[in-house]
Amino acid sequence: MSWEIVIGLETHAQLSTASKMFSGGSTAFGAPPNTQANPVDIALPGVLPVANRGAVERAIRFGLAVGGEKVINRRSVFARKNYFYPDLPKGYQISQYELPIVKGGEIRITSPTRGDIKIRLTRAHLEEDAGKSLHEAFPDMTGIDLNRAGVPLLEIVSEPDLRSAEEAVAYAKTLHALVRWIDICDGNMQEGSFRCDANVSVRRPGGPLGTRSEIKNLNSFRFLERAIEFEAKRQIEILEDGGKIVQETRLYDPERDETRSMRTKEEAHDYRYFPDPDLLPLEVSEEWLERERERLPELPQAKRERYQREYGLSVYDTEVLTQSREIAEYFE
Amino acid sequence: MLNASLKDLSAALAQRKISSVALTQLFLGRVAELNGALNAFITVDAEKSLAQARAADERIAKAAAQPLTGIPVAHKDIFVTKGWLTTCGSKILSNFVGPYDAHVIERFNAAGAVILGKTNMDEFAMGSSSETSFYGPVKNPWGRECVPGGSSGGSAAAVAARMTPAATGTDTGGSIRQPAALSGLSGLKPTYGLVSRYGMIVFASSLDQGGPMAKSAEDLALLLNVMAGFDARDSTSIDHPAENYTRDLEKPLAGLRIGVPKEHFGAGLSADVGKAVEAALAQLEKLGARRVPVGLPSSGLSVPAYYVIAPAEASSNLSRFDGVRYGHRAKEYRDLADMYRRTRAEGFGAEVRRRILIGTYVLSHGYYDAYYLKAQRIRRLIANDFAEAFKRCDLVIGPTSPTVAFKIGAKAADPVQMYLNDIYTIPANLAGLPGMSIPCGFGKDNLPVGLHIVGNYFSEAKMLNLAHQYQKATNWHKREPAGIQP
Repeated sequence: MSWEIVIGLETHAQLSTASKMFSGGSTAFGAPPNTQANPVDIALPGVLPVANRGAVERAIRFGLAVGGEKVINRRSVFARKNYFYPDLPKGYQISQYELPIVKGGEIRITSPTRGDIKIRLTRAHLEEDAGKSLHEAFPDMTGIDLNRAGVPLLEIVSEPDLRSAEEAVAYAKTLHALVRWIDICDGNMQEGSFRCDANVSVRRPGGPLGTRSEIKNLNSFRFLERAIEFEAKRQIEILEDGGKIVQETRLYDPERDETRSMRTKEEAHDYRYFPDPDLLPLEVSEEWLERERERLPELPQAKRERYQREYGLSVYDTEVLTQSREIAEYFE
Repeated sequence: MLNASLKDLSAALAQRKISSVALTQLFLGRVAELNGALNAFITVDAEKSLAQARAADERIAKAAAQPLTGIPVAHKDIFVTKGWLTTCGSKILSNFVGPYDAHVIERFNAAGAVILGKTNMDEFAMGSSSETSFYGPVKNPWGRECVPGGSSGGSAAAVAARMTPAATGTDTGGSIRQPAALSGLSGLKPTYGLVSRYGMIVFASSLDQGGPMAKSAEDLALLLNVMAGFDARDSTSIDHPAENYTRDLEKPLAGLRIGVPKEHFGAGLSADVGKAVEAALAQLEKLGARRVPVGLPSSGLSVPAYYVIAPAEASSNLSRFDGVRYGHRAKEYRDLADMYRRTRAEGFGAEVRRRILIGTYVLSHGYYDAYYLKAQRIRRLIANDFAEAFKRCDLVIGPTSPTVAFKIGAKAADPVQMYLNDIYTIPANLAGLPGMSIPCGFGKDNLPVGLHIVGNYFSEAKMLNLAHQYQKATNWHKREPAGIQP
């Protein structure tokens, strides 16, 4: 009997603002450690967050591109996710929890087996990135670089609509092209501007969803594909041997091409989410939506349809021409 | 000079009857003389203060002075102050020198006021007695075996003992008003959002508000003129048009409706305090105010709701004190988790640890709805109570605290008794309303009693008007504790 792989992706896209999500600190990549961490970023006593308007605008444009006005919450709420870690200066990450800025939407992809399909989005929410722990540079010590702390992220969560590693890659590539197309993220995967976590489970076709594992921090399409393939195979082997899958978070090791357990559900943190009392609810007016809509370029899907209609091009040709906005603009 | 109002000090400086340097030296001398007994200040730095005083004198000479230019003001050690040790009364920040100025400090510096020192307080503003400070308890100038109230007890004792003409405080559940009442002075907690919280070390974000403490309502108005103002660095700061808070001081009280909530005169209120407050109400009626009964039926829920919301926010706000980037770090530890555990166990006192544990518990999975969300609903009920009351009256008046100052140590072992001290002041914080306390007589052991005034949002000028008219007709605010005369 065959197995069906079920995948949902959580993608972190770094929003292309000059300053951070809740401070005026610079987001430029590659500066010497801690030179781009201002008093808010390092969480000095008494400092307070102020939401970055440019980041909110980019999140709105993303929502408009994947679902139009109806998927944008006119009122969303920043919440605190509490946990201790040295690269998390406040002891909590400001994110969105119960009320994200984008709820719903869809991404159309071309699957090698199922053709043109729609992948539903659960939500997309604004949050800040953490800093980086440097374990190599100092013997017996850990260095902390807070340059990344507070960098604005849009976390885009898909429904478990993907059925193979190839589909997951097709989805990630389409999403990657979209965020660059609408100019909200530079998409630089080496610098961590676009990275995925994959939720993977397997089941008998038509059966109930299996227990999933979450694979963290996949920062290339190849790693995404390899990690899902390894993980699905691992789960199938366990199940076929009569074992059970434990819900857990796993890390992909590209050097050994395998995933390893980080923590199980029992070891999961209680993040004690609650609305951040230092920030007001985020209100999006109809006028603001309208302004962002005007700033949105013609989307790849619309362009493809127009090229077929106006120039009589083949589906393949229009896909090639809309791989990036630069190519499409040159063509036109 | 020690008893002079801010207005008189300002005039004396303008007329060159005294220089800011001489005035600052006078008060620094008072601090040197009395701080050993009262423990009101954590940090004094005469050199820094006198440098500011010299700059103020130059500014006065150039006729560029503002009303507070050259006047010494003491700041609660919760306000981050550039170049000054800023401890928040805690061991965990006992080595923390402020790398920037809080908005409130910036405002006083811009006005040309002199920073006289940083005042002692309950650790992280958690307390009603100023006993929980890492730097030891503050003594009440009116009776040194008594507490001055808290958490702004150092500021209160400093003003009461005439060690400073004025001071700043912060108020999360009564921390300006209750020490003002117990130490015989005037204190104002403004409308939430009127004074920026930037650089004010956070206890409970949705409740904290900075405000002035001084000898009279008139002084408070001058201080609030400096402290209030929009600040884009605080998302909860309100862009309210600038006001001159002295503008209504001289208005007659004829026709003013004062609402008296029966819930604040029931069981728990000690007879001596009740008597002084009743006499004050009679005095206000004599001045033309009209007394109307109002109800605050949800009042009784305010202490339990507060002790869910404030610790919940605090448990998260205090997570940044982890020994990684600044402040105290344990000397020895096995691993990262052990470093956190030891640093925070060593760095925080018992009351702070208690509240972090309560807050962590009420936010935990499975308890959040039952505690935190329910407390937020109670908060709404309390705000509605006041909204109803303000349909029938202009200001709500009652006692600030159920008793006069209590003995040091008397309630230290019983947190619930300590928490009940703030039963009349907490509702204003939960509703975000402005509240103030002014002296209205003396009770048991000749200790001061405070009159509590709560106004509608942004009605500070009206509250100050009532307080000033009352103070023109009475002398309670002019009384000073015995044994502090030079």
